[in-house]
This record gives sequence, structure tokens and C-alpha cells, in this order.
Amino acid sequence: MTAGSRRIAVRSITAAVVWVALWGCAVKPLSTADQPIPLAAAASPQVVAAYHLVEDGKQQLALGQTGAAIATFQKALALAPSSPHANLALGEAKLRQADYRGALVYGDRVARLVGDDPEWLWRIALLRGQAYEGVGDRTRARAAYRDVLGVDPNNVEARAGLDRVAPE
Amino acid sequence: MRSLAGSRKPRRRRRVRRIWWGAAALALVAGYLGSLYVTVTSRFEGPHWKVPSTVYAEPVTIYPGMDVSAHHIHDRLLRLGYGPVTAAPRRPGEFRWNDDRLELYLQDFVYPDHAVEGFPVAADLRDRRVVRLIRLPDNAPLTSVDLEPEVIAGLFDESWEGRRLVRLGDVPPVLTDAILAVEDARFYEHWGIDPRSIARAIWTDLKEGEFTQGGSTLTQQLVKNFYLTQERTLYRKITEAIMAVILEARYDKRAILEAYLNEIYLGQRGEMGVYGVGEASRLYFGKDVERLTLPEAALLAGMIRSPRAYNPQINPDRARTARDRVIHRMLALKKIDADEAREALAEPVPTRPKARAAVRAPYFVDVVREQLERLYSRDVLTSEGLRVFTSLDVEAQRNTEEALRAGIAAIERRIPKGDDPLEGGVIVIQPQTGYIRALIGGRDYAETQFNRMTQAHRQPGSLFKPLAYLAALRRDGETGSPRYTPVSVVQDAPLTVVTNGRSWTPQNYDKLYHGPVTLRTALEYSFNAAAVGVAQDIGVERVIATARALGITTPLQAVPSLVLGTSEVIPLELAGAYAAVANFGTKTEPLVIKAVMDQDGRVLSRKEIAVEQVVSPEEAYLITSLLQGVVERGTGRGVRALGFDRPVAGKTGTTSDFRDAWFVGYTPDTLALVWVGFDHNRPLQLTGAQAALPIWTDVMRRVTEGEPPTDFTPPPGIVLRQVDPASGLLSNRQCPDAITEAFLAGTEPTGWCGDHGGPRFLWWLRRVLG
Repeated sequence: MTAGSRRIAVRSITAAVVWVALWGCAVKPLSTADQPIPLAAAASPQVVAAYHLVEDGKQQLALGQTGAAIATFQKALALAPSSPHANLALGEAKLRQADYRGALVYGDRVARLVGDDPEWLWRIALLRGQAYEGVGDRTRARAAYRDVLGVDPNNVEARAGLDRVAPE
Repeated sequence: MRSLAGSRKPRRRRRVRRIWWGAAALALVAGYLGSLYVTVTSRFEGPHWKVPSTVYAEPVTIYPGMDVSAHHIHDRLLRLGYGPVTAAPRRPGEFRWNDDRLELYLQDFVYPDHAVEGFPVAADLRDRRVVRLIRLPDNAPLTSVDLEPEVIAGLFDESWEGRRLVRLGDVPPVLTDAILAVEDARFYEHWGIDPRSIARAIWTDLKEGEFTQGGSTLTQQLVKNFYLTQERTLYRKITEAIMAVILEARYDKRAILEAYLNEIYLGQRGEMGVYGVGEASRLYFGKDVERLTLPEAALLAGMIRSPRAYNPQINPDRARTARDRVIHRMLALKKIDADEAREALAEPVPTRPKARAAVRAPYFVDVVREQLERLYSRDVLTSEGLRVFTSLDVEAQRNTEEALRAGIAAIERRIPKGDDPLEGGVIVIQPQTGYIRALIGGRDYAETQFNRMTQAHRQPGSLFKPLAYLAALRRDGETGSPRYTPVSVVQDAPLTVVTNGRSWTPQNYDKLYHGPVTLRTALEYSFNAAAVGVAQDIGVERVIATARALGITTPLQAVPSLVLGTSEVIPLELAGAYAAVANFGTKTEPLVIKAVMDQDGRVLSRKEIAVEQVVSPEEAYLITSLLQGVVERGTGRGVRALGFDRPVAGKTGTTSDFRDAWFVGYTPDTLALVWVGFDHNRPLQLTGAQAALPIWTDVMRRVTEGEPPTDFTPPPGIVLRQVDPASGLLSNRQCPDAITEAFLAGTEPTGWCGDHGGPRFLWWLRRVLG
């Protein structure tokens, strides 16, 4: 191998390593909580439309348009009352508004709608953990946070929540 | 001298008299002018117009997969004023519908959360369903679009003057130029009246021998519309001229022009008069005034003389002539150049037809008005131009009205004619949101505005039983266990109870007692004696507590007959209670107003869905499961006989002497309650199953059309078992009518049915193994 070709090989390998590293960063998964939850394959058209509305509502929420976001989530719910996405979004909105009992109602609805889909279970558990913590039910909050960590051991919110509600 | 002096005296007296007269006349004129000044300024400086509030129905969302036929999109478009065209839609408010494609140009609309500037979209259709939704012309895929909400009412005092106020800065110069060109070209030069115009008008009138040309300036027109009557007298004309001068002296031209643009009458939309260029722009072009083009502006300007004669929706040819006249005049006045004129003249006049008559929901609007009046004064509601967004589904309302009308007509053919008319009412509600989708408070609003769904107090009859059974199936606060399960055996037997010293023995509709039956059977067949027995066992107070939790607020008498629905309730509250059951024990406040905006687009209030878990999901589900049995096997089986085959739970109700006929039922996503009876309690002589159930079925078939069927999913905490309905025990393979029964976890039966045959060794084995 000539020096030139060696240099080319080294550069190529270096470039490949850098490219792979960059790619790795680029495709590094978002924190699980930020990832949209996929739609069920058999979702009805209404549920699909509601899913997109919920995504729109999340963008409004990110822009600080809380009232508008909740209106969008409610619109999604009215369009598809069996949409787990709409119900979860409203549950999370209730949580933000410190309406913890309302959040629990929506959490229960989502639980009924999604059965034992692991993709959803930890999210429901996290919602419940935060809502129970909000109403002061530390025991149930602890159990819910542990459920989250059982599915997603690296979940930062659940870990922090568990620390907050740890027995004194 | 005397004679000279004598002649001077009368002269002086005459002079004094003349001075007095002059002074008096001056004072009179001054007073007159002063009063005109006060009139002009007081109106011009206060709020100029009373803008009525507008009540909107819910907008309709179009999305891939939607059945456009079931959702009556075509009818909705026509009611919204969209016009069919044969070429691709080029302007807001146009649509083209082929078998496999719907193209429409959305109209501008300001929603509580965002403003939409109309844009063209296309929906590819297959078998009436949207398979692809795209934005045109770039074909960008869309996940959904909203059709603007339909106007269902205006809240006004005397007349419905639709007016969308605009500021002069928002009006495109092309529109003011067009209007001034034909109405008052010297507007910026005169001081309220224009002698040159008047002279020209007089000359024309003399030539033509009739009084056709007024020669009024724009300011005079404003004065006439603003302050005076339309009568044609010299006195009125003089007053108008003086007031115009006062107006010009007091205010600048911009303020006068802005007032004029908002004041002029430009047509009619149903009952609503269209006033001002803002509202007219929406009516004729489906867009905000800011976006008007030259030919559109010219068309509006041309209509001012006679909005009816030059209405493009009625007389497109005359409208075109008027528009072209304006364009030529603008060219002559050098407001536009020849190229612009040529292009504008080449544009066709929008020819979309007048909007189809709007759906009115007067009883619903009354509820909206009542709720608004708790927040805003009547004056504000009729003058501040509020925009009220509601939960009404216009098509559900229309369909419900049709179903009730047909149902009442069918009943009237079966019963003897009386003096008072048969009445009926329907509520359609979405349990998860509490949104009232349709509401009819009586058969004819013009006859009587009394809302039988929200204002009446009626005995609910057997509609109350499920609330009592729910109380029986709920976990006891102390023991943590329920007193009953769906398969608990209850006695449908003669039972005499004593209340206030009087004894009472409930009887069944068929005058028979059915002995020991399961709680499910007792509810499915609506046995009275069994229901009273259960309520007596658990305590009537417990029944009342459950009814209260579900939202019943009317006084409930703690008497044994309560369970048979002898205490009056408000139908809306009853619908709300059932909605809570349908919604797995979560009560949602029935909701009609979703948001209120002011005329500048600010959201004044927004109503969020309020949820409260009042009964556990699993306890509520048990009642839903029992009510499914009512429809499958019991008194509500007529629903199936009439061909409604979606998963549904329901209950019939009939009060003593057949005074009220009820049916309430729900799919997972829609609940409807129907009442039929007479206002003065004349017996109807029909049961709920005979009178209300057919109407309910018709309503539900219509309002659920195009929706995917969904089933009631048991919540966690419910276990399902196959049981023998007669014994309530677990069924064996020989049980002929085994059903799937729902139980709160831990309350399911463990014993096996021994009443029916089966392999004896299995039976023995089960007994041995426990």
C-alpha cells in the first residue's frame, strides 16, 4: 500500500467514524416522553384525525398557547372520544392546570382504551404518579412511579417523582 | 308735530317688533341648529351601531376516511353559502364536486384560536369517503380541514343587522376609490353638501321629468341612514343637508368615510340584513374586506344604489352592468389605468347562489341565551357583536327535528285527537365531552317556547330504576363490598310498604309478579315490585345519594315509590345522569357554549370540559351492561326490531296512567333521550317502548350514520363470566341461554349451574374440587 493510498484509507476511515458518530447523534432517540405514540394499526379515521389534532395542540402548547391547545385537544376528543392520544393530552393538560382529579379521570380513560399496550402503560403510570402526588396520595404516587420505572428504568421524571414522594 | 311724532311711534314699535321677531327667529334657528348639533355629535361620538351577537354551531372537520355523504357535506356547503362551479374553484366560497373529487375554496374565518385565510383544498373520494386530502395548488397533504361553523342565530333587539365592523385602515384603497367614484367623486372637496352635484341632479330630474337623482353626497347618505327616516320631503332634505354640514364641520373626512363604509345596507342573508362592507365582503366573496380585488370592490360599490336589483346572487347580469359602470367611472377618474380596467372587466361576476336556509335550533339558542345572560348584560349581547361558539351539530339537529316530527305524526295517527297538541322533546349529548349536539324542547317553537327538556319537571318513571340499581351495585362505603351483583336473585313478588300511614303495593305493567329473578332480569323487564324491594333493602337515601352524585338536583322524595320515578326531574339532568353512566361514572357538565369572542377577535371566555368521577368506572359499567340487556332482550328490544344494530344500552320509561313516554339510550359515543307526552298530563295511553323508542331509534340511526361502530369496553376491575341467566350461576355447556355477565372483580359467582344437564362426572368433579 502506498503512502497516498494509506492516507486515503485513513481519511476514509476517519470520515466514516465521524459520519457514524454524527449520524448517531442525529438519530439519537428523543427522550421517550417526547416521542409521539404510534397509532394503532386498526385506528379508525376519526382516531387518526384526532391524533394529528393532538400533535397540532402540542405545538400550541409549546408556544405557550395553553388555552388554544386545550381547545384543540377537546376538539380531538369530540371528533374521536375513543382516541387515547386526545385523552392523554387532556390528562396532561389537567395536570398542568393542577386539576389532579381530572387528570386521573383521563388517565383511567386511556387505560381502558389501550389495554396492556406497553407503549402506553408507562405514560399512564407517569400521569397517575404525578396526579396522585398532586392530590397528596404518596403511596399510590410511589406505586405509579415504580410502574413507570419498571417499563422505562431511565425515566427521569418518574425517578424525580419517586424521590419526592419517598417515605420520610 | 303730533302727527309726525304719532307716525314715528308706530314705526319704532314696528321696528322693535321686527327686532323681537328677528331675535326670536334667530333663537329658533339657533335652537334648531343646536339640537341638530347635539343629535349629530351624540350619536357619532358614542357607539355607532348595535351589533348583535352571532351564535355559531360547531365547525365540521373533514379528514381522510370521513364519509362525506353521511356527514351531509354538500348540504353544509350550500348552507354556508358555497356555490358550485364547473371549473376549478378560484375564489373563496366556490366548490366543484365530481364523483371522485371534491374541490373547494375555503372562506376566511376567525376562530377563537386562530384565523383562517381561505385557501383551496381537494378531497379525493372513493365510495363517498375521503381517501386523500390536499392543499391546492401545491398538493401538500393535509390531515384535516374545518368547514366554517354555520350561523344558527343572532341575538338582537329589534332587527338582525349583521355587521362586521372595519377600520378605514383595513379597507383596501380600491374599494374606497370604487365607492367614491360612483357615490361621491368630490367627497374630499365639498363640506357636506355639493352644490354642483345638486345642480346636476336637478337638471337631470328636470330633463327626465321625475325625481330620480338625489345629488346626495356620501355624508348626506350617511346622515340619512344614521339619523333620519327614508321619507322624501323637502323638510327632511333640508335637515339632512344641515346635518351633513355639521358633521363635516365637526369630524374629519376619514371618520365620516369609515362610518359610511360600516353603515351602508348591502343585502340580505335570510333573516339577517347585511350592513357595511365587512359583512358584505364575507357574504358575496367569502373573504375579509382586506382581500377584495378591483372587480369585487367595483361590484360592491355598484350594489350600493340598490342591493337587491344588483345582487349578483339574484341578478348576475344587472350586477355585472353595475360593476362595469363603476370600473369605467374609475377609469374616467384615473383611479385605475386602462390595463387594470380591461382585466377587471374580463373577470366574471361571482354567481354562487344564495345560501340555503340555515338550520335554526331555537330551543338550543334559548339555552345559549340564558347562559350568556348570566355573564353579559342584555345590552351587551344585543349591541357588542359577540361571537358565540357552541356545541351544536347542525346536521344532528336537523335530523333530530325530522325524526321527532315524523315520530309525533306517527303517534298522532294512533291516539284519539284531543284539545292540546302532543308534545315531544329530544336531547342528543356526547357523554365524554358533555357537548349537547342537538336539543329540541317542543314540537313547534312558534307555538310555545317552553323548553320541555330544560325547563319542565316530569316524572321519569322507570328511567329512574337504573339509578336505584346502580346504588345497589355500588360498593358499600363500610364493607367495601356491593350488596348486589347483576345475578343476585331478587323477589318480584307482592310487597306492601307503608309510608306516612298509607300502605302501597307496587304492581307490574303486566299485572303479574314473576317471583325470584336475577337483578338483571328485573331491570331488563322493568319489574316494579323487584325494584321497590331492592330500594327498600338498600335504603331510599342511598338511591337519592347516587342520583345526586350523578347530577340530579331536583327535590327527590324519600318514599318507596321513588325508585319507580315518581319524583319529578328535569329531562336535561336525567340525560346528564345517564351520560355519566355511559361515561364510566365520569360526570361531564352538559355544555352548549364553548367560547365567546368579542368583535375584535379577543377570546372573552372559553369553556373547558369539566370532568368529575362520581361513580367508579366498573360500577357504572355494570349498569351499561344491564342496559345493553334491556335492548337485547328486555323492554327495549324494539330498538333491534327496528334495525338499529350498533352496540347500545337503553331504558324505557312510562309513568302512571301513561302520561309520559320515555326512552334513553346510548352508544359509547352518543346518548339520546326522548320524551313524548302532553303538557297538561293527559294520558298518552302508550308506553315508552311504543311512543319514545321508535323516535329514539330514528334519531340515533341518523346521528350515528357514518361513524364507526364502537363497543363498550369493560374497564379494569370487571371480570366477565358465562352464567346461566335464570340461576345466576356459572353456566355449564348445557345451559340453553347462557349469557356473558359482568361482575366487579371478586364478586363473580363460583358455583355452577345445576339446573341444566351436563356430564355428571364433570359436575361431580367440580363439586369435589370446589
